[in-house]
Amino acid sequence: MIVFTQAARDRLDEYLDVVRQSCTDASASDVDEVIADIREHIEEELSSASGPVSAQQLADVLERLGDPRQWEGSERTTPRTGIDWSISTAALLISAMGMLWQLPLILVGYILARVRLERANVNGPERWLAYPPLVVGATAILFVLLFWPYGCAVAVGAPGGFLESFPGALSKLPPQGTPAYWLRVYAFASIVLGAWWVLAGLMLRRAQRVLAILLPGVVARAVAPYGNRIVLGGVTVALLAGLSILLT
Amino acid sequence: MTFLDNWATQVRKGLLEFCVLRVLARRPHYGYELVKQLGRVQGFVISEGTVYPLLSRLKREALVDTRLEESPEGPARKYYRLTARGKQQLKLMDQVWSEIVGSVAELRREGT
Repeated sequence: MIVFTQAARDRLDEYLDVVRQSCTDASASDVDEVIADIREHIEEELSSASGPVSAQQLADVLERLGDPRQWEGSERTTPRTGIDWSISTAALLISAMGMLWQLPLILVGYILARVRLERANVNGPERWLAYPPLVVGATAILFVLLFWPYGCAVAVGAPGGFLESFPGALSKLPPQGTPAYWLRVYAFASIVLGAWWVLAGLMLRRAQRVLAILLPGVVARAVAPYGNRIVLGGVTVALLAGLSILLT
Repeated sequence: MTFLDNWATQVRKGLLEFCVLRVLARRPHYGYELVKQLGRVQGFVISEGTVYPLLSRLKREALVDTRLEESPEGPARKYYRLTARGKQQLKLMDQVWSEIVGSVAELRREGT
């Protein structure tokens, strides 16, 4: 047990008070932990001192520890206030509404969750609010990026769509609305999809920035190494679709 | 503070979390031991106290946890060690760091 002179004790209390004030953004338990660590550090430093520790001996240790105001703002941790939680809560609710009602809302929930995660380190129970809209949104974006030609096929082939206005655009089309018609439309869409995958796979390494904007960093990094496989998948899909058109 | 001093401080500050996790990856350390270990790297830890709030934050983010261990030299010490999540994050940080080093080296080569 280290014994301090009264002057040293006063100086230490004063130093730790300033530390406490400068860490006001952290939760109380964290501040207590930081102060306990600093106390332990001081006691380790002064463990070899014989007799009561003087203010001067303590001053040397405190000088090496640094200005007690050094953490003001710089070690700001996630303030657990309602306003910040509310962003994550809104993201989750909007994303849930998107799944049940209007799909584009998934994107809104996703953007809110990303904004929240960009602005703070989200920990503890709040993760269960912020991560689901992020996962759902990222999955939806990946799905759209990979399969958008099929969505276009529905729009193009549906009654009143492009093919009704320009029936000669795709050769040998069966009567509109029949299963054979849709098979043919999807076969053409698969060729487009295959070509898109080839292009996307080739671009993947060069389009990292775009990918990082669209998807969270972890997902973008996870997808990046699969460029060659996506190219191969695209070639296979396009070839199979082409063969099915030629053979039917 | 000169421009260079300011820049060097910012770089070191930015790398401190990575270095703390790297040191803890070898074995658990108690706070004082960790500070001294980092202090051995020239100019790395300007203020020894910088490390403690950082350790607290790493703990809150579940990258490290603590356990008390009896010390032959006095009261029990609080040891910091990496959690599974900390190990996982460190792997990713290693990856990012390698990318940064590679990119900077390339820029420096181009610049000479």
